[in-house]
Amino acid sequence: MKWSVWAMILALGISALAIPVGAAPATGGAVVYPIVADPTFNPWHPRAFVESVFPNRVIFNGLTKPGKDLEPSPDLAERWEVSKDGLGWTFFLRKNVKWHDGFDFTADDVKFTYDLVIDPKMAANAAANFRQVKAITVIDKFTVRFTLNTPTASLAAFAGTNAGILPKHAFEGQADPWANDAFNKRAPIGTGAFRVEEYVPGSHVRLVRNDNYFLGRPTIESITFKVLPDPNTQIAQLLTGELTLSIVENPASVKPLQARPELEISTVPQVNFYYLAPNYTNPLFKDKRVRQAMLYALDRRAMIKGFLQGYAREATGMISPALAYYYRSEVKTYEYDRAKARALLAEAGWKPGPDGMLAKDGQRFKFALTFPRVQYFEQLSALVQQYYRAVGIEVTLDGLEFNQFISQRFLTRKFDVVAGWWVTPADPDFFNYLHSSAGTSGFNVPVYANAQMDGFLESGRAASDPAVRAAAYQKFQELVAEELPYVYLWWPFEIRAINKRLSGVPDIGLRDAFQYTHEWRLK
Amino acid sequence: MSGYIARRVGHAGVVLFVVSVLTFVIVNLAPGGPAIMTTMQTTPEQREALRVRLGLDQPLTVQFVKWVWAVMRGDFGRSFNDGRPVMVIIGERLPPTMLLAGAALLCSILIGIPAGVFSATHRYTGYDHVVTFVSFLGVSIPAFWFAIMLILFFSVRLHWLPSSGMATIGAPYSPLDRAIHLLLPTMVLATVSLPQLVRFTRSSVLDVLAKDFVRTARAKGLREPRVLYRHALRNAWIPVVTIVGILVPRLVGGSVITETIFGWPGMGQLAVASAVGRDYPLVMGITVVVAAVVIGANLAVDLAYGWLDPRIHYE
Repeated sequence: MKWSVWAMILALGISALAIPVGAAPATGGAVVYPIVADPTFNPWHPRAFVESVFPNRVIFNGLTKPGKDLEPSPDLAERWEVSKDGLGWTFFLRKNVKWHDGFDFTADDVKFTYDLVIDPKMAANAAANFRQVKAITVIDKFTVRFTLNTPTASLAAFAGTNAGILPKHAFEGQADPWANDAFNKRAPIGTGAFRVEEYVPGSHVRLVRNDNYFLGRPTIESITFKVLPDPNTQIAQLLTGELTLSIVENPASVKPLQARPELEISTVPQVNFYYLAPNYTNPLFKDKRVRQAMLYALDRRAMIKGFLQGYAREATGMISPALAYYYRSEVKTYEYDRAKARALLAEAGWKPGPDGMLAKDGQRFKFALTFPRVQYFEQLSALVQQYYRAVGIEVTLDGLEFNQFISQRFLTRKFDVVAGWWVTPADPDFFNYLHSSAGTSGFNVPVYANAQMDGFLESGRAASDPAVRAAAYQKFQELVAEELPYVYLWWPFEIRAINKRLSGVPDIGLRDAFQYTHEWRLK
Repeated sequence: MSGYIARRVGHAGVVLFVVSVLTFVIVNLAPGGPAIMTTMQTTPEQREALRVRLGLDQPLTVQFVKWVWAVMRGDFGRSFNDGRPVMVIIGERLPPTMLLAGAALLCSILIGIPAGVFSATHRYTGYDHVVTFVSFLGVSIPAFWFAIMLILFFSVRLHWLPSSGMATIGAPYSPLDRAIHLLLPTMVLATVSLPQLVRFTRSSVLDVLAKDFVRTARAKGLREPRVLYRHALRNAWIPVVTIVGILVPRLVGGSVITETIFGWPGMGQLAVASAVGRDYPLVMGITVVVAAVVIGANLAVDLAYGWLDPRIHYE
């Protein structure tokens, strides 16, 4: 071929390299963290998925934030008061807080944000947590009142989790805030310890420190969120030092990281429980002895050892021990006991047939276990099938791709028993997850309906006195352990690998720890 | 010639339309819905509000007609799961994929064709066996395993090469930096396309070397290099050009695995993520773009035939 053709090809190749990327050089004091996809810089945007959580927790502040003991602690609100009837919450806001573009933060920003949240047409993220908020009123420049239609003690905690306040002035005159790409997808404006300096889609977001941060200038110079979809690459980069810290999703990856002297592997409890949820509307599962037998029949310790390398704790309820003030361990527990399971099933009228499988009134005890094909649910379901066969229950496996699982089974409640997990804010309020009114309109996956349970959930949510709340939730935990509406399995630990050069990261989940980046230090 | 090209463009339009219809039908048949509506913590009111926002409450034919009408005006709509205009997203992801695909293709051509030619002219020698064996290895190695092995060796162990990304974050732009980041992903991609090019070139050249006119050239007393370069090779290009034409769209469609493992922000990742997330406008946009590239590549290959072989004539 003629040399001119080769030259042309070469020239094309070289010119393709001319796609500019970065800007200023990085100096020391840079923290690098992986995220799995391009973020949306707006915690309320319906498209803000799990990858957006980390950057948004740094860029924005909420009214409150999870304290180091996970109790709601002040963030943009210095303090708050609840009226006697529990229907009025007054937040007294910090003064002298500036947005990243220099404007002053005021109560108007809070009203603007929460007006979006309670507007059903906006379909804001986590709007379900604020359904009791009827109206938001600006009292003065630094005071704002939330009016509720029923008392909701959990408001303080919900207002601190992925609930950043948005600047009203950045959205002035916009018909649809969710279409404001300049803010949501390029250059957001928050009040947080770090602000966005550079965003290259598909590659990284670089935040630099906000010298005017209201809790003091951060020591660290920059935080970079690198887009790394593959977990193997994340591990490799922890090993090379390109990543400063990361959550280790797969417990099997911990070993090679532990061998490295420069990495510190730690675990913290999560506010997260894994469960099997039997459909309460299915007559098979109406009898609580059956549900209790379903938990007795599972060797959870062996399963934790098998899939999770021991990085989880057998659950004794829905409220995680991480919520130290509310968690109660003195409830009915379910050690692995096959004989007890069989005895309970027999009491409920299920007798083994000639093939060893249970039957009652000519009907076999048979159901389908629905699960999403993610994480370790395949192994989990296969094992559950084995454990249940050993006590005479026949299980068929119904595994689906995640999107299909959610839309065709989970949300429509078209299942016999479903396997899943719930991650919740640091609050014991499980109203949306178990109240009879939340069967189809909320997250009450088992479609459970029990008037007594409803009563505890209502009083727990309404009580503003912490001691009264704790008492209500103690009764709640005792009833949950007795009734087992969710056949809870375990509370997984969050495993993190943190480079030893980094200190000051609080011992709470990393998502919450990212709200303390002004305290982090790099050697 | 211009009449030929005009006819081809006409065909292209029809093909693109048919492809759009098929894609639209298939993607809407898939169970599930857009990822923003299928998260665990949405309420029925949220989902309904989103359905209305995304225009999914209208019948399928209406949605499709609206889409076609908008596309005629150059508007491919907004992604459901990202929110930005589809062409903006594709515009961000296409150049990195073209860069990677271009580099892999260039490598394959620059190494593969000479290797194939050499292999053919030194058939059954030790060299030929080595080339054939290495090609066989290249075709057999799974890309994801090879990619991770390369990262473990060159990044983690030797610290010679970066394990992800297109460029060093925060560093000023430099072509050398870009080339260093290109090295590993290109090696992985080229491992797949190189062997095919080598084998095709080899067999094509062997074919031509057996022809009568080559015997004639040798009989005339020409030296071997002249026989090869001036007489034989020209006739061997057509199958090779065909294979390159097939490789181009495959590479542009993006290699999901390579891009995911190396954090390379390209089309492959985008295509899979949009399919999994049932992001209808984005899936349609990607399909149209890739179909256009395939059609364009085919046209270029056909025109190249005309240029390479004077016997082929279009009017």
